[in-house]
Amino acid sequence: MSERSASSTPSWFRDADYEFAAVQIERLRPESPWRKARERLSQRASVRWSLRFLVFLALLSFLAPLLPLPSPAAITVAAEPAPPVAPWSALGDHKFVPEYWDLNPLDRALVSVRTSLFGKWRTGPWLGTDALGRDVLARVVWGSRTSLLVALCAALTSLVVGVTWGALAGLVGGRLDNVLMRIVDVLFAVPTIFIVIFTLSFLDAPKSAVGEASLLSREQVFFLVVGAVSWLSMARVVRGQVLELKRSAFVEAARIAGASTPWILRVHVLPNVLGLVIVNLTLTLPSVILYEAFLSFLGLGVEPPKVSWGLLAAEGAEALNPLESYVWLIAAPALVMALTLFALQTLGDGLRDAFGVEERSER
Amino acid sequence: MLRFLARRAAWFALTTWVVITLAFFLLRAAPGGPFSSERKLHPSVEAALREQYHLDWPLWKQYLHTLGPLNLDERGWLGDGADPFGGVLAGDFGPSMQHRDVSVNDVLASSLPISITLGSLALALALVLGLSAGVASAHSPGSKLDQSVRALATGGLVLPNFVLASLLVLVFAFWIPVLPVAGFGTPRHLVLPSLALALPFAAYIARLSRAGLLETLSKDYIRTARAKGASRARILWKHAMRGALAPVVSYLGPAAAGVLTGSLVIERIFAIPGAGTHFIASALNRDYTLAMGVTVVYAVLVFGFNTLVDVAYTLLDPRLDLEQEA
Amino acid sequence: MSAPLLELRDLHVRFAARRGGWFEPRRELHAVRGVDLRLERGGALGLVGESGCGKSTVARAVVGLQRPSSGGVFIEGLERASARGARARELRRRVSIVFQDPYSSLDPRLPVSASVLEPLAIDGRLRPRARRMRVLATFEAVGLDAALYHRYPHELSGGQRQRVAIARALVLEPALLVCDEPTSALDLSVRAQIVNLLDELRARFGLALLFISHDLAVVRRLADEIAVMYLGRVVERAPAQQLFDAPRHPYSKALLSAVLAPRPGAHEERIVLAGEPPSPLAPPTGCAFHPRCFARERVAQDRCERESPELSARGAQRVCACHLTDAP
Ligand SMILES: Nc1ncnc2c1ncn2[C@@H]1O[C@H](COP(=O)(O)OP(=O)(O)OP(=O)(O)O)[C@@H](O)[C@H]1O
Ligand SMILES: [Mg+2]
Repeated sequence: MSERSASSTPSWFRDADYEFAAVQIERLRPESPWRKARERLSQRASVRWSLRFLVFLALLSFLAPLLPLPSPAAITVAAEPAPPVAPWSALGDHKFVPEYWDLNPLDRALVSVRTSLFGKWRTGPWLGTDALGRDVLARVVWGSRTSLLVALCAALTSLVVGVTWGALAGLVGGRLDNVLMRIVDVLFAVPTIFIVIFTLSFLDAPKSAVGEASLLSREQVFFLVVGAVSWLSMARVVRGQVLELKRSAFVEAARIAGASTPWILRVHVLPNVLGLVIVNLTLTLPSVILYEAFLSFLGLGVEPPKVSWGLLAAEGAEALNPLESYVWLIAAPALVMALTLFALQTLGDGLRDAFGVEERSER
Repeated sequence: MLRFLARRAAWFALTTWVVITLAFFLLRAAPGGPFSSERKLHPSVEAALREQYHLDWPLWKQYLHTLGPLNLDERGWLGDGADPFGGVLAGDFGPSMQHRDVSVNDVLASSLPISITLGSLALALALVLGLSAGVASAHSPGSKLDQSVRALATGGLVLPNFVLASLLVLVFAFWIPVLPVAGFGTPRHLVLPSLALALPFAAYIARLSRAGLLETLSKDYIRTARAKGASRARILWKHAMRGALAPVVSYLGPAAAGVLTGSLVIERIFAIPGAGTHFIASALNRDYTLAMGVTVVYAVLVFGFNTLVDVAYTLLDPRLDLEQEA
Repeated sequence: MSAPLLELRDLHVRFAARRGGWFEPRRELHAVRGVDLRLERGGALGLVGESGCGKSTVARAVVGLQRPSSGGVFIEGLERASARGARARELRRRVSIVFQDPYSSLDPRLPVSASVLEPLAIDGRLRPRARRMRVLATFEAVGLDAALYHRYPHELSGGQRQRVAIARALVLEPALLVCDEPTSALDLSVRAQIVNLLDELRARFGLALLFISHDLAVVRRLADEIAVMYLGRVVERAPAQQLFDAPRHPYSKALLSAVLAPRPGAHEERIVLAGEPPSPLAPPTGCAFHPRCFARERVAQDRCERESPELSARGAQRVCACHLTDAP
């Protein structure tokens, strides 16, 4: 056996013999674990239906201005809420009046497309009307925009702030980890609802006291606040997983081979954390939607005439009385909300099984 | 254990300080003040009020005064025979700025017991309902009972609690008028609010305990016990309960915080004069002292309860080392 | 004579142990307490000793996962810890490791080919096509079917995974392969295959092995020389055959008698060690082995309690650290 020195000697391995095989083998597409997870996921009918429902809902809420619905803010002078009417007995009429709050340019464009498409035609009061004669169906559809936007906002902060925070703490470790996680601990211990209420009540002050209009609108602050409280559990979960990964033998093997931290992050950490992140998101979203409802009930959510599911449900709850129960006012928003959360939950359970992530209660 | 409690105490001090400081500065940063939302006061009257409540002091002095424990009030340092110790750290929240002539401590003393009664009742109810539903469901998985329990639990998790409360009121006060709609006083008044408050948590506990029980039931030692001829009910109660209880107990901490938050809504719906109603009103009215009082008390409650839960958790699972947890 | 492939000079590794409380002094765990070892090119050194004696820590120091607290790891005369840049890269190529557990040493979200390819990609020397060819070549060398190329770790058996881990370790053509109990997580039948594979690779590529194991039979099969560790120190080092025939250190004797069937006609009976291994947080004074030493009872020497024995020569090729067996 001859002794070989350093690196200049010919290889042990006769690489050239494998040229053909190397070309061949790249042709066989590997089956990625993501595709596996997706297959396992789509085998369940409940998951398929949940997904369809959520996509449908998202489309509906995005395209709300395009639909031939009555406008959600148009008040008719009606003394009392009117009960739902079946579509076949009152399909619609031609009394549409475009009355909205300040819409953004895109929505305005959509509304003008709607008028050119359907003219003055609008659907009948299929889900009834409220005490101001506003159409409940239109309000539920428009309200979904707020609720879904809140969910989206929480999802984004969870993903951006929560994941970065947790990954940084776990990867860098040491003192930084200590500081970052202590901040999360304190924020967890502080009852965040109080901060939320303080912050939101800033914008409730009488206009005279505020003087100049504040920098951010009430709604923007609302979204900021909801985002700010929703990333904490994500940060914890991600940190735990990253710590576990950092100590794992395969990351050590990569380090021995000279891998840099960005390399380890990209090749090993992110793909292994992703499943957990997605599952955790499906847990965060329902709680954020419920949170929006809670704040709306306390009068701290979106401002009328804008609508959200929480606001609708709160109005419905207030409208209940022993003499005349306007059940549809609460039933309609409560039902769509329940369906949405149920779909999210089913999806989350499915994802958890598909990715093999365990359920744990997070503080 | 002692070391754990010492650590917890240090944490407690830190958290309380953060809460006080945050609350103080957030309140002062908010536009408007305690006297700006009322009928327009005469400038001299308002100035007098501001002086009375030390709102004319520089901010840092107000902060130290609020924090305590030394009473910075000019009457405080033994003058006038007033208490030399004041401020939040001394347990004295000072006079309310909206309800003149009433101290925050008085307001809390009258409203807090109501909230605590409601909250603990709800938590106990959640535990009893949730656990029994979970056990019943795990006793025969897949049965009609199991399925209906799971459906109900899902219902509890997908609806906001004020909707649940409204449904309860609709059924038990309007359609079958057996319970009062709102108010506070007799035990009958407590049934609907505590139930409405408890349901979401009961639902989650049912889910947790069912999953925990089913998992422990599939473990080897349980199979051995079954092979020895123990009945399923006996196995459930004697062997599996301990393992299944752990996740439920650790959920109690977040649940307690959730019950406090939920009570803000429930107290409003059922017109219960608890601390929750004061909280929102005081924050909106810039009643600096009262808002501070309620916030601090709630934070302390949540923290204390979490510590209790951690202690209970180690009793349940002695392998867990409190030193590492803290 | 050029520098040996691997040399450990008075290697110490200390870990900061968790403090009990705020007022308790900082304690340290002295896991490796002065280890000297040499391994020539193509050689095979076995490292044995009971659990917790510091074998894995030595292995981690050799591959650069653990910085020595003092002393050094020298690869071909270059100190591992102080090497930078291109030199560090060269050192990484020269030494690689196979871990114990083939289940946790492969990334579950990567196809096994990607795991094997990773060191090549980090090293960046070959072009992508050439890397794939190399991976296939190593697959062949470790006896893996090319059909497993795109598979994921969970689809492979334990033995196959360990072969993948070996392929990953070989792909940069190292001179030294560190194996930290590479067979102890495997089934008995697979164990023999992996041992044969390592032996074969060694012969084929002139690979040097630093082989750590509990399984003395395996060590005997693979190693030319064996070092016995006890509580962070090497207490005896000898050519494999000599050690198995006539262990000198009482601890080696105990270790061997525990696993080897007594040879017919041999007069010594099975030695069972009394007591637990001592805590590395509070090592005994003098010879670390003295509280459990059976030879001491017969000879009764309090020197063992006071003075730590140095490694000293016992014949031409072996060393031993024991006061009681001073005579060659
Ligand atoms: N990162 C670390 N921090 C603190 N102590 C450690 C660390 N790594 C190892 N130790 C301690 O160092 C000592 C030696 O550990 P090591 O893993 O080297 O033993 P070993 O001989 O490989 O044991 P085994 O046969 O069980 O693998 C042990 O007491 C261990 O607890
Ligand atoms: Mg080891």
